Amino acid sequence: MGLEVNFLQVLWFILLTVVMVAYYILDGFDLGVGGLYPFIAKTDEEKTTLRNIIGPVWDGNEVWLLTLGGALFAAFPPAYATTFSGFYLAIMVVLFCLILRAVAIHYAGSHEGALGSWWHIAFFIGSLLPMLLYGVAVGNLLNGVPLLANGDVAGSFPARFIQLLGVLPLLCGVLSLLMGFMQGAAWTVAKTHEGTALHDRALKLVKPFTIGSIVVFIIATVFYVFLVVPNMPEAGVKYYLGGGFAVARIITIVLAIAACAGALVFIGKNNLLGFICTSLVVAFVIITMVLSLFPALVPAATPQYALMAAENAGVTITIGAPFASSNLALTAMAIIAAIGVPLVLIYHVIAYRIFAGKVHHDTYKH
Amino acid sequence: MGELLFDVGFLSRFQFAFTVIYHFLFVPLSIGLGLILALTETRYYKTRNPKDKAASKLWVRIFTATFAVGVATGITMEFAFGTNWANYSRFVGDIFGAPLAAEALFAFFLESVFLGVLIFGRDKVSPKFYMVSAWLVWFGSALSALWIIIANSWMQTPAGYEVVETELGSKAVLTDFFAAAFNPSLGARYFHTVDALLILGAFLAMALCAYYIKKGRFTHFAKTGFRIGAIVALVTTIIMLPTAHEQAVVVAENQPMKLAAMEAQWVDEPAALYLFGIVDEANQTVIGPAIPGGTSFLASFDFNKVYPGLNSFDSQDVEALNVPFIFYMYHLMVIGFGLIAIVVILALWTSFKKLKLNQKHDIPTWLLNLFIWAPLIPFLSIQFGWAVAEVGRQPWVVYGLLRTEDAISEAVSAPELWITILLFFIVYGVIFVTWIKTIHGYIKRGPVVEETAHNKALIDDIHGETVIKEHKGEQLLIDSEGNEYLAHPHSLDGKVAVDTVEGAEK
Repeated sequence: MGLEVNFLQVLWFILLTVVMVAYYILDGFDLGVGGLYPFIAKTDEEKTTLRNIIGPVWDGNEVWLLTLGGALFAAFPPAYATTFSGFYLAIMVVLFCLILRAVAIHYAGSHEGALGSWWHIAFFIGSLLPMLLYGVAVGNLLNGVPLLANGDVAGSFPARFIQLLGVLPLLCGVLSLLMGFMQGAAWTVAKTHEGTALHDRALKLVKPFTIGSIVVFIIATVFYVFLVVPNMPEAGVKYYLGGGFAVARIITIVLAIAACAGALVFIGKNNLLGFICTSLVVAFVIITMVLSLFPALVPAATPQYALMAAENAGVTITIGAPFASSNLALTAMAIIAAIGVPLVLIYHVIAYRIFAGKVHHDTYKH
Repeated sequence: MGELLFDVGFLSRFQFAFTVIYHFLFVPLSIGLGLILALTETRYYKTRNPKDKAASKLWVRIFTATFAVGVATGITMEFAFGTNWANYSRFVGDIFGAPLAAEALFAFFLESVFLGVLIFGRDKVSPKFYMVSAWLVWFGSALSALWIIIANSWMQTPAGYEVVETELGSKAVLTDFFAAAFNPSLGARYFHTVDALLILGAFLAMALCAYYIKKGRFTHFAKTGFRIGAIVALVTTIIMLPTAHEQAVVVAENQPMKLAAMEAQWVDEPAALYLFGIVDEANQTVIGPAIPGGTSFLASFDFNKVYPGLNSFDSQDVEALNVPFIFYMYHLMVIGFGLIAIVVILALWTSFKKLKLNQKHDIPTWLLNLFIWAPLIPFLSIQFGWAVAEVGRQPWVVYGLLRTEDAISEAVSAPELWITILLFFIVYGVIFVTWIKTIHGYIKRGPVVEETAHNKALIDDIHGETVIKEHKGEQLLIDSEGNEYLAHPHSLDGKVAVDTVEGAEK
């Protein structure tokens, strides 16, 4: 069931990947800036500078996440329903973080005293936890998820929440954190004036985070290939793991390493190119991940969980029928995307052009 | 009651109701005030009067602080379909997901990018671009409302679909995109909702201006702003009548059980229109003054048209319907509209007969207080209206197709819901307090005119009695009309400090 896939289903798998890559490159840098906030900003001016370098654009970046959620819901409803309800508390933690963070960015500058410092903490935590949890969620998908026959995630609270924290999920969580920090540091370097203390502190961090990302990426890949894949049920994702996909993943891994090398070369010399290279690292890491999942979205990992009775077991949720939306729905959405995505790109070009250039603490008076 | 605490369906509904009502406190403010902001910015673009610029800047501050909360709490709603309504998502995904994705793609990106321009870009872009940005943010928010109301209307009046059986159970599948998007109740619901939000925006503008008039502050802002608000309120209140009529027609045609509940009508007869009343469920009657056949007339222009009463529907479905609640919510909304119309007439009279620029006004305080508190009327009416729409749809989540009790996430347990409901109370509570404090701060400071190269002469030329006010280390000049100017030390030359107040209002 579900291993036959058609053009529209693959198209939407690719489009979801594109949205995910765009999200983690763009929101990655403003989440990363939030995660680095207490460490690289020592004075109130530096804190204001950091908020200013993401201020005009972060909200647009976050809309990529809403697009991802909406598109997953529309194209592959069972995957959306299973993951969002099955990872309930983890998703809700991400949600509360994003809410508090959104409000914190707006209000951190306009309140003094206790309330003000509270919002600074909210901005930090609200940026840090989502980065970690995105990785943990992806790690669980790669691990496989225990599914019931009705498509729900098996297990009960609170064991199910704790179960999320396996080795591969934690590795992926650390990788996600490091990539966010890398993006945040690279963006800070690109957007602050050379010679300022803030710029120098961020510059020192880009290379360790970039190298760290690649190292953890390779460790996670090795762990996945040698310890996770061999335990997978035959009828699951293993189907596509051989042949062309293995080669494709080797290529994306090599490209990720090349992008890492590029970042190491350019950072400190041409910071915009450096940021583009770190963004490519993010892109190739995510592409490697989705190539490992294809054609599944939520692989069933029933045999690993002794709690599960076999007759109760669910099947892997793939991008094929009956898990995908109808061809008519996918076509309608493709037309919507064909009209909408060029507009979105135009908006982004406008925003990033208006707010191009270096920023300091009193760049924007409002 | 104890059982409900462990009922995932009840807890999920409670959480959704709480978060969606909270979200919908801020959305109407954003869409309503967005229009006021765009109009004010357009006025400044034409006049280039620094006082109009100060007015626009104040609206930008109030609007963006509100919008930020609306956006943040909107994420909850998009996630909620998956987190708490997994079976619903599986059933409707083929149809319901597309408008959500389209909302993000077409509306959210537009809003968020140009909101960035509004907050950060006044000195970065041309005045024309800035004005256009204000309109684009408002347009984006109205477009966002369209997509989400397409989704909601499909739940009320599903169309362009067929229900098919798959290995995973039954689900609704799209058969006609345009029939689904432009389903029978979309048009009426969209214009009815957005028009209500614009009424609220106009009332808020008038309230703020009435507050400044009462305090004798910023009379330029207050008089011009009050007139913008009064005109928008008049136009939107008139538009409300045909949208309300259309809503009645659509409900009568598509959701007859809801119509019967709205007027608490148990037997088949021409539907009465109660002005108000008390629902006596035991005797299946309403005690109160009514226009016989009034609702029939609203829905069909025929006083004698017979509509089915609640006894004509499946008794189990009717039992799941909270008839008195729907009746009261509906009638409170209608009474709200009557009050709105009265306030609009008073506002027009005040604006055009009593508020002349460069003249002292003689408006009684009670009238100003009425305008200050009046936004509560549209604000509550909007919530009542949505309560009728959503509670009146029960026991269905998708009318006639999927019951609410079958739509839940079976994977989520009651303790998990307690945790998240508690967290919502805390987080949303903190945000609400912060929002109030912030907006209060903005209003207290007011539309202070800032000195620039262009308006230095204006500050030098302030005539009449001048007051210098100290406020948090700033020195403010106040002219005889109560307009305040942020003063640099050199512009104080020759001005005499009549009064010095620290932080307090004049």
